[in-house]
Amino acid sequence: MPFFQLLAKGAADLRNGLAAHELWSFMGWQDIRQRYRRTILGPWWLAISTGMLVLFLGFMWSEIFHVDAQTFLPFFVIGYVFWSFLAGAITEACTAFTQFEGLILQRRIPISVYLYRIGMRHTIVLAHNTTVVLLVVLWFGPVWSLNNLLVIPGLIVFGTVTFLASIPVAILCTRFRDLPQIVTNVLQVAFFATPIMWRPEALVRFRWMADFNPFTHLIDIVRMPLLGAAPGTESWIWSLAALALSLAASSWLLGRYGHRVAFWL
Amino acid sequence: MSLASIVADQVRIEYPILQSTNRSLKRRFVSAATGGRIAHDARDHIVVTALNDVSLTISEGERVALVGHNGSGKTTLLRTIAGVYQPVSGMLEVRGTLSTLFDISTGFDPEATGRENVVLRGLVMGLSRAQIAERIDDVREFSGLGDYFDLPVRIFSSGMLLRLAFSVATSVQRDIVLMDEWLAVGDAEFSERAEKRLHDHLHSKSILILATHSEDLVRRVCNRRIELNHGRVVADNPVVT
Repeated sequence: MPFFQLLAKGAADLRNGLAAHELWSFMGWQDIRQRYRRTILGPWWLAISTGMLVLFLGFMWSEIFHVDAQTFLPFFVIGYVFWSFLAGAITEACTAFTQFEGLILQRRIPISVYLYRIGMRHTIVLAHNTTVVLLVVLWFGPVWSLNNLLVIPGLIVFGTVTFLASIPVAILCTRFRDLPQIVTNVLQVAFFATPIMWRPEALVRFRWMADFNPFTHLIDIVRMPLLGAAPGTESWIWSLAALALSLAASSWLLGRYGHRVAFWL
Repeated sequence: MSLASIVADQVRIEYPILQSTNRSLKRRFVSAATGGRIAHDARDHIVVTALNDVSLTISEGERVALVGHNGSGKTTLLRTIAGVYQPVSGMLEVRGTLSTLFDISTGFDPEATGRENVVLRGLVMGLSRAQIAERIDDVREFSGLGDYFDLPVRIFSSGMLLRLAFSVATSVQRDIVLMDEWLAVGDAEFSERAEKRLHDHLHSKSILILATHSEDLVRRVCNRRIELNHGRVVADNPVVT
């Protein structure tokens, strides 16, 4: 099949998957309910454990790196919470198809539904963790400005890129079973190579590591507006390029290999 | 109700057997780097032909029994009609809405309650939340599970799972109903009720395809008998009663 036809076929799967929103939103909620069944606080445990971790690490690192907790903590919390969303969604995408094998072999539903489900699951987690972000930002004194509104396009681009990038990961990890290990490793290294625990200004000789890192820019388009600043133009360019690339890659792979996934399980 | 029909023309299904050797990236990289002989090896997957040149036309109102020994391709044919597997060659056209009842235990969320699983299955079947809400009492009643309906399905026996799966699958009228070895684990009382419900559920123009080993069931329910062997259709006759 010619290239553009494959793209169209993949895009149709993405659209049909989106249309089945009642299915994947139910499944996503179900996954969360499952994890916290019979607990009293339920998914609020997510926010509590994130809050504990972030406060402890935040204060410790601001001491180690000799930076002021008031500026460091909000910076760290936002970066950490949004990184967890991205890394969590991508890591779980590795088993997106193998964990739902039973359903996939039952009947034909758009294969992207399983990734929307994982996206939904992590969006719920993110929503709970956002309370920690808001509490920390408000506690340390927010910077009110019109730049705050930029968080809306920032979140949309950040979330869409995460979702779209999870599709190639899911398809390739189902076919090549060594890949999940590689993905986990890459994400682990990327966490330390991205300015989350440290500020980009801290780098002198290795400044390129932050500047030529797509994760830096994806995090920045959400983090900067929340801190009251406007993200740099290069952050938008990097993020939009990531959006275009992940859309093309996921459409092509879905169109080319989407129907083969059932055979690889 | 649209006209239900299934037309298969020389459908062929092949399963690649992906062993860890050719599933790993190392093999890919090695083969790409060296080229030639190893590349040939890496591409040389073991392939099992599950369906071979299957040509069939099934029209509205037909009650088809798929028979054949284990591994003859019955389940693969059902899954192909359901759209799970796409033929590597040949043409398949399925018209009409589908309802499937395959492996009974898969597709259930063991920790979720019977009710939640009914919603899940209904959504997978393409029903909306509102349509499911309308039918859920009927499903609960027909399943005969009583208070178990609101308990996690991990404590269900296979017979109870069957009751649940069957009740959902037949809760809405569909043009094409695909069933694999149904009723095998149900008790006599439920089997009888299920057969009656299936009968009511199928309208005169819908298609039923049933994979089974029970010749008795074939005679009671079906009007056409297709026998598969090694992925080929070896016999296709009307059932005389």
